[in-house]
Amino acid sequence: MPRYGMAVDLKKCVRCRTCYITCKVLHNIPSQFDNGRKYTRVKLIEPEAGKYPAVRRFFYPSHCMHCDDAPCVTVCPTGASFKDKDGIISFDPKKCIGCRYCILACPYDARYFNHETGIVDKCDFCEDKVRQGKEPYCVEKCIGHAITFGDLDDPNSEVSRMITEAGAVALSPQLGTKPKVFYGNMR
Amino acid sequence: MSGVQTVWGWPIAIYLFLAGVAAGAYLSAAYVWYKRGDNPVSRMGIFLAAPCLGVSILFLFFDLGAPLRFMLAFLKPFSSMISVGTWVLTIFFIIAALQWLKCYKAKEASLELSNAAWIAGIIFAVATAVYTGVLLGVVKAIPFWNTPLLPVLFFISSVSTGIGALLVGVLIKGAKDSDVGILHSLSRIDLVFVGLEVLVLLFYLLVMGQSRLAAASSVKMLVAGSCAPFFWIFVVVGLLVPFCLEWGLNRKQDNQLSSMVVSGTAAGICLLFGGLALRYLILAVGIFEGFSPIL
Ligand code: SF4
Ligand code: SF4
Repeated sequence: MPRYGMAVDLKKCVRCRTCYITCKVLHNIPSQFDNGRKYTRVKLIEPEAGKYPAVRRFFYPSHCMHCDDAPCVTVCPTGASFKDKDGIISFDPKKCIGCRYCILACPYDARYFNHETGIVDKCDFCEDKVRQGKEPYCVEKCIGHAITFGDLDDPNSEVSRMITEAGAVALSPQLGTKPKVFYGNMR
Repeated sequence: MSGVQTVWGWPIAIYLFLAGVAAGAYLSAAYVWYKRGDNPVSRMGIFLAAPCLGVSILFLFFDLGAPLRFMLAFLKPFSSMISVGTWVLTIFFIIAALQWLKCYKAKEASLELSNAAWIAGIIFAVATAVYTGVLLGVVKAIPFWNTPLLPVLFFISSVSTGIGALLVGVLIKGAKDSDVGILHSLSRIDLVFVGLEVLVLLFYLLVMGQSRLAAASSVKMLVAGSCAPFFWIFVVVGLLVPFCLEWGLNRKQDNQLSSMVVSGTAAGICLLFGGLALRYLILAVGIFEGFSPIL
């Protein structure tokens, strides 16, 4: 059984936002805003650091980290949020009661509440595609080839190689959820 | 990406508050029953508990995005704090509703309530009050909530709001001279609970203010930031005023019904306001710890 994960090489990222758009369009995610927060599975995070004149703007796509110790799964009362055998933090819309406890539990702000459907939604690594042996949309469409996806347990998989080559690390690992999305060439 | 949570708002605050009132009113009723047996004050507690809990559950129900599927929350009783709560509240509701029915049917006749029912009710009332704090207490992503102090605070506040509801209920319905004694001892007990609430709240804010996590920002937002006006109104109206009123009642030692009616009702209303404000404020200043690439 593979243990799926993802890596993003920020040096290869050209900040084109294709991952965000493609995910939104191909997953039919509505265009509304929720308290200023977009309905989206992929977020583009652009924090600034430093003091003038030494200022830097970061840019990285962020979505569900598919945490190995996923707090969203622990708090879900119905099993709508669950961890699959291949490590994907999956979501069953038919079981979700819309309590939004998972949104509070997720430290990565990966979930949004869809007022149209009354339930939450999040990145599922495009699991339907992945199980047919294909790649997630964001990986497939990224024009810089900055995102890779695959089996973390296989040292020769593309994702494992990118993690080693780009020195990719998890974001804020001190939160203790063991994310399976890694970012390389962060600085 | 740290930010203030906007996921749970007023409906959840009311839900937590009313569940607490129900538990507190029930526990006070049990205490009065234990001291005096069947009497109007105890009956008022029984009369308030089940309806408050029922309304509280309705608030939770209608806050769900997909309420019609709520039955799913019963399927995995220990999987999540919400499922645990669903079970605890349901069982407490059944016990309280059965006693409510007996009480309703008894009318003027003397009321028989079994000790077993009382004990089960007390256990589930305590569980309900504590649960309202644990629900938030287990959320690690929001450090201000993530502490065992929160269930303690909510439990104390629940008892206090329950006593408040009882005072208001009895006094508005029309208390008799014979009730004044027990109302006095309830207000004396509440004096202790409000005192405890102030101490625990102070300790809670001090501990969280020292935190290196987002909890410190929550404390700031509460005592000196955008929530500060409401917070200080809560401190004065929800804690200090009822404390002084109850202090006054107990110092004078007058068992006059008239002074109980005025001070008791006022204190009770303030306690209820305070209980709701406390829950709303704690929800409102829940700030996510957040994650960042710049670390
Ligand atoms: S990033 Fe959030 S939603 Fe995704 S697995 Fe982790 S806790 Fe769950
Ligand atoms: S909103 Fe849905 S997925 Fe999230 S915890 Fe509630 S039931 Fe589970």
